[in-house]
Parts: sequence; C-alpha cells; structure tokens
Amino acid sequence: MKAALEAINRLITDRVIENYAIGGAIGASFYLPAMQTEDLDKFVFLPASSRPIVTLTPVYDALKTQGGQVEGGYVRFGKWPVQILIDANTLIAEAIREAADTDYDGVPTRVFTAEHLCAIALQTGRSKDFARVMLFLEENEVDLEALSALAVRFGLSDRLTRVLNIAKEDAQ
Amino acid sequence: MTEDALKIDREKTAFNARSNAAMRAYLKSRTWPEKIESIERMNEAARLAREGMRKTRKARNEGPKRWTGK
Repeated sequence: MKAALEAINRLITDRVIENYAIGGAIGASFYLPAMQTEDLDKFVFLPASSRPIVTLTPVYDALKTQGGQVEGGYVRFGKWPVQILIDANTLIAEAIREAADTDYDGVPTRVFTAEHLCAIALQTGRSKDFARVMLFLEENEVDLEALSALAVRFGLSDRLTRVLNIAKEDAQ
Repeated sequence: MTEDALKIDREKTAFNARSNAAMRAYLKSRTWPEKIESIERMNEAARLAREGMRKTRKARNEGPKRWTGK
C-alpha cells in the first residue's frame, strides 16, 4: 500500500490531479480496529476536480509509469488494487476538500474525516454501511455533533436517527 | 439542507458504478487462499493506518468526542 500511496502523491506533484483522499473501508481503517471482509483490499482514491471528468486516462497513464498495472476499473500496485472513484456529489467533494492530513508508515496521505466517512456511509445506505457507522459510534471515533450537522446539511438526518436508535438499543 | 447539497453528477456517478462493478468482480474472482492472504495484508495495513492517525492526533492534541449512547 505504501508504494500505491507514494505513486498517488506523485500525481499531485506532477499536477496530474489536484488532490485526493482515501475513503471507503481503507479510510475507515485509519480509525477502526476491525474491517469487513467484503471490502478486502478496497482502496479508494478520489481525484478532486473542478471540471467534469469523462475519463481518467491521464491518471491511469501516470500510475502506469510508476509501476501500476491497469486492470479493468482499478490499478494494481503489487497485491494492492487501487480503486479510483471521483467526486460524484457534493458530499464526496466536501469530504475530499476537508480530508485530514495523516501518515501511513512514513508516507504522508489524506483520509476522509470520521464524520465524512460516516455521512457517506449513511448516504450509500446499505446495511453494511449502517453497521460501519455503528462501529464508529461504539469505538468513540466520531464527533456526533459534527456528524449530526453534516446529516442535516445533506438530508441524512432520518438515516442517522435510525442508526442511533439501533445503537441505543444495543447499548441497553 | 440546500439544493446544492444534494447535487449529483450523473456522469461521474455512472463512472463510479462501473468502477465498483469492476472491483466487485475482482474480489469475487479471488480464491480462498488469496482472500485469507488479503485479510492478513489488510490487518497489517489497518494497524499502520491507525498508528499514523494516532500520531497525527497526538501532534494536534486532539481526540474523538465520546459518544455516550444517550
């Protein structure tokens, strides 16, 4: 994964992309101890862009020159498949802009905040996404006040209330 | 909630859907030994990721807020 992050960081230096942040299961792994097996190796990388993107060919080409192997809808670095997703809605765009700077084994990187990871999980809305939000709550890894504010802004309050009710029942 | 907060780019959404489908197909194609190896790799990656986040938070003197379940 380190090699993949170094390659992605290089994309910013070379101005192929403006920015990126890690989301999904790998993003959650920066905060949570347990991972869902269904999301194995899933590594989400989101180039930020102010213009409509119809192709990521320049990104794939740049990653290929750094040892990545393009295979279908992802790029593989060694045994790590790197999935490239783009900012399809305003919540994801905001999550990229406001991502936290952190470090992975000495390599600087950016990861969605716990609150944005939870809000995106609520928006995606599958049972496993709700389970992930509950895990963030159980592990005390999310600022509930900030998450509630995000939920209000993005029309996710009902979904958050549902998850909180289940979490409260489980806590009793 | 504003209208802008719910804006969705259909072209980008379609792109992401194709990417997710490719990733699902890749994951399904893995053999059990490969999946087990992948879990071990993932566990080690998660350990390094959390370690990095702990250092970041310590440097910023910040921590998550406690949820009391109330």
